[in-house]
Amino acid sequence: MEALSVSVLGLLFLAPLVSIAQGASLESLAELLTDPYLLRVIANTFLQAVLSTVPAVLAALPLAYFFARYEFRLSSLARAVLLAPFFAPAFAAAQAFLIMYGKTGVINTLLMQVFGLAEPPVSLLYSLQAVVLAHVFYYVPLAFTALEAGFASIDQDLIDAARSLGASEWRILRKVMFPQLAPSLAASGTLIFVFSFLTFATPLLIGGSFTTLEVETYFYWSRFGGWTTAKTLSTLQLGLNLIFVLAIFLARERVLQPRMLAKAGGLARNRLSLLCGSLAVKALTLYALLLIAFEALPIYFIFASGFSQGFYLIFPLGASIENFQRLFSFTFGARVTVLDSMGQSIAIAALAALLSVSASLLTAYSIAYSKGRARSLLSAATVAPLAVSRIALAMGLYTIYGAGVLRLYGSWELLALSHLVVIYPLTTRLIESALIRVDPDLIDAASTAGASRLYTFLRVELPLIGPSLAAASLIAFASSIGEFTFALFFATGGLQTMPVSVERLLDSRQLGPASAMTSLILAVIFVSALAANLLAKRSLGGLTYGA
Amino acid sequence: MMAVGLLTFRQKALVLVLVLITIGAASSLYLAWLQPRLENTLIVYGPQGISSFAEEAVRVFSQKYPDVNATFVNYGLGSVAIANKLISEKDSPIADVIMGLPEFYARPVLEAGVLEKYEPPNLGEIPQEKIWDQSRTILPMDEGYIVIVYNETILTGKGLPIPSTLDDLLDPRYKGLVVYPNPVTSGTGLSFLNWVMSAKTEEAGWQYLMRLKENVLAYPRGWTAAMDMFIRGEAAIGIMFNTDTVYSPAPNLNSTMVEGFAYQEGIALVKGAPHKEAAKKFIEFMLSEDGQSLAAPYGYVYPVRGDVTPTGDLARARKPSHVITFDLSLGGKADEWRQRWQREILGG
Repeated sequence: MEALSVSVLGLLFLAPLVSIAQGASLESLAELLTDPYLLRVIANTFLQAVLSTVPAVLAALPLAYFFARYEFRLSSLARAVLLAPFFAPAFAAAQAFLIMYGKTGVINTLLMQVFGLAEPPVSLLYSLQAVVLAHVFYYVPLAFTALEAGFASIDQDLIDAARSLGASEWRILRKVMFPQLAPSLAASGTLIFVFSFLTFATPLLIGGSFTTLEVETYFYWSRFGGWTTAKTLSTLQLGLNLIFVLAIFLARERVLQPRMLAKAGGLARNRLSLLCGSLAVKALTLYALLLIAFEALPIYFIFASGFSQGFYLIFPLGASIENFQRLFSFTFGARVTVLDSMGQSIAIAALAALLSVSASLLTAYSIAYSKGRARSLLSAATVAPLAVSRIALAMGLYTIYGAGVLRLYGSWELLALSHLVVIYPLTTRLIESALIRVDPDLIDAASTAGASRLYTFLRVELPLIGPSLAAASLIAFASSIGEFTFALFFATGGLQTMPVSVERLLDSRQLGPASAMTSLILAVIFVSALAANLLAKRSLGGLTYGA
Repeated sequence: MMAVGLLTFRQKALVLVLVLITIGAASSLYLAWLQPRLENTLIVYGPQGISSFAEEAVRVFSQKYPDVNATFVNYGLGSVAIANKLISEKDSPIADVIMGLPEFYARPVLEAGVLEKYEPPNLGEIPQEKIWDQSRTILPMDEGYIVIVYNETILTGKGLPIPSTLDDLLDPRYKGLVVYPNPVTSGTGLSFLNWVMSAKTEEAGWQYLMRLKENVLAYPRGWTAAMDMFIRGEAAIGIMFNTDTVYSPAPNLNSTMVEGFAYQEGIALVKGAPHKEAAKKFIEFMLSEDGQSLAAPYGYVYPVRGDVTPTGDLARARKPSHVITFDLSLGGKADEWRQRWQREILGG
């Protein structure tokens, strides 16, 4: 069992990365490290990651407190709306920013209409600010879920005790609440930093001349024919990623692991009452509303601009399927039609989901029933692909499987395999936590009654974790449908999944049909995520899922 | 639900396994079915800018050879980007032929070793002075001229003078009006770099580009994206083909045709082409009278054969009076320039 899991990881994850390191050269490294431009790119990559992390976590903190502290009608709807960007693919977030903040975008049109301006006043896109703002938008929900779990682990009795002993509110915040929240703050901060560091679609689509390591490596590979440079740059990055893997592994214990049912009862919850509440409560409510709007509007605008032909203020001008008609009459080069692209996306997602859930079931089983160091190592190795450069993985997969003996480049098999690499960690995590929840007494009882281990697994564990397996399959399906980096890297004349079609549409400035296509992708993803959440609640009470 | 309840555990498991196998098999079969349809196809790479010409060429070619299904693939890229896509696929080529390869980007592609020499029997019918690649790997296909174009309506509306020369473009009154395609990805953009460097020598050329940057509105990814900006009336002045002023739907696009740069495009066989024989036939076809006369109706480039005369828009288009040709001695610098441009002009 362990051997199987290790070989899946070895073949799909380690071997490609080793091939990248082999392709690097010291000469090239010396050149890179003395190149002021590339040093600036490295510095920029760090800078944008820090600038994205701090505001995302800080913005989410009051929001998580608000949700932990107050009960109100429609709170679960508000939560769902808030979490939507979390499940959306990063390219969709960037696309939403194009729709909102572009020269002919919603905000500019609105301001020009209201103030009768001749020129669009807001010019935000194609800059560091655009990338950072898109990241904050994208990662506030992640920080929010982590911090919500943090607030849930706070014991109200401790706060009451401190208060009765005369502690000030500030002291309570510092001495009672903060120590409980610190792990969640650190964990969500780590995740957001790592994911932002590895960002690709966002700077590619709305960064303009502001690039990051991933984008620059991709350019070296695809635009400058600099394979050695690209591989050296990636090797340099993989060194940093190793630290990330470690950090993610530690953070995962806090965030990726669904431990929603905290032992402590969380904060005492009051019904939200705006009429008799204090000014602070009103301010907090207003803040929550604004932040929810900040999270909801971009997603709304993708759908709205997919289904309409323009906006009056922020309201779409009537429903229209014109964008869909234009979309479906579109043929990409090499005669890939939009239907082909959709069919390929769905089929690849179905395969990736089947494969990753099957592989994860084996891995999760070996993790759940192994002990000590083996367990930690295996666990760490399985989350590693989440904290590693996707461009490096793509180049490695290309080198080993795309070229060489197998020559899988351009085939759907290679794209499905590449998706497996990054989806496998998510499904493993979900299935592992479901397996851990199975009462060991049940297994002992079955064994006492003479059942073989396999029979017990099939008859006891499998039915118990069934809903989680279904949830994991849906999450895997949704992740594959929205996957951008590998899809772009491995797109060829005949193979073009939906996100790549969106990129092509955006590139030829077909904003309407692009929104129509992304609306379809988001609809599939949101329905899958919602169904997965319901299924997971049935078995383990909620789940989390990242980038 | 009743029926499911009646099934035994074993039966339920069996049904589930069957369903999963069906999903897996159906997905694989669908993908496999979709793939050969494109796999048994002669794949011709080229820039998006020549799509209408190239798509007509593969259509006519496929009619002539019914057993070959030819497809033009551009990925929405400019000629330099598609050439680099070809280079990045060196170890497992997808494309059989690349067309629209500009003369001034020939050296990096030849040096990358992704092309194979093939001289079709009808190569002798092309005037020998038109063969610009001395290794005869990239064969001449068509040619054109890059010139300074402007939207007359916008310039007259703003009461601005009309630009004729490279130096005219530096006029501070043109701030935010000038567009030229990104030379990292676009052949049109790279030809502009070559034009500037050939006309001004290198260091002066970079200084010129830095000063021009003050006036530039955008660097679209390729000719197509730049043309879109003219059509929508976003761009007022730019670097485009001389023929664009004649047939393009862009309103009031004009040029004084004073200065220009000669743009020669070629076609070549890809090394390790999956459909080598069909690829050879395609190259031969493109150099034949039939293939060459396809250039005329699309009006943006001139045929290289002496016996095919430009008609229609192509005949109507004026040519620049002072043409600068590609400086061979600068040939090897294309990649160095593209990188420097990305860093200093785009990134700086």
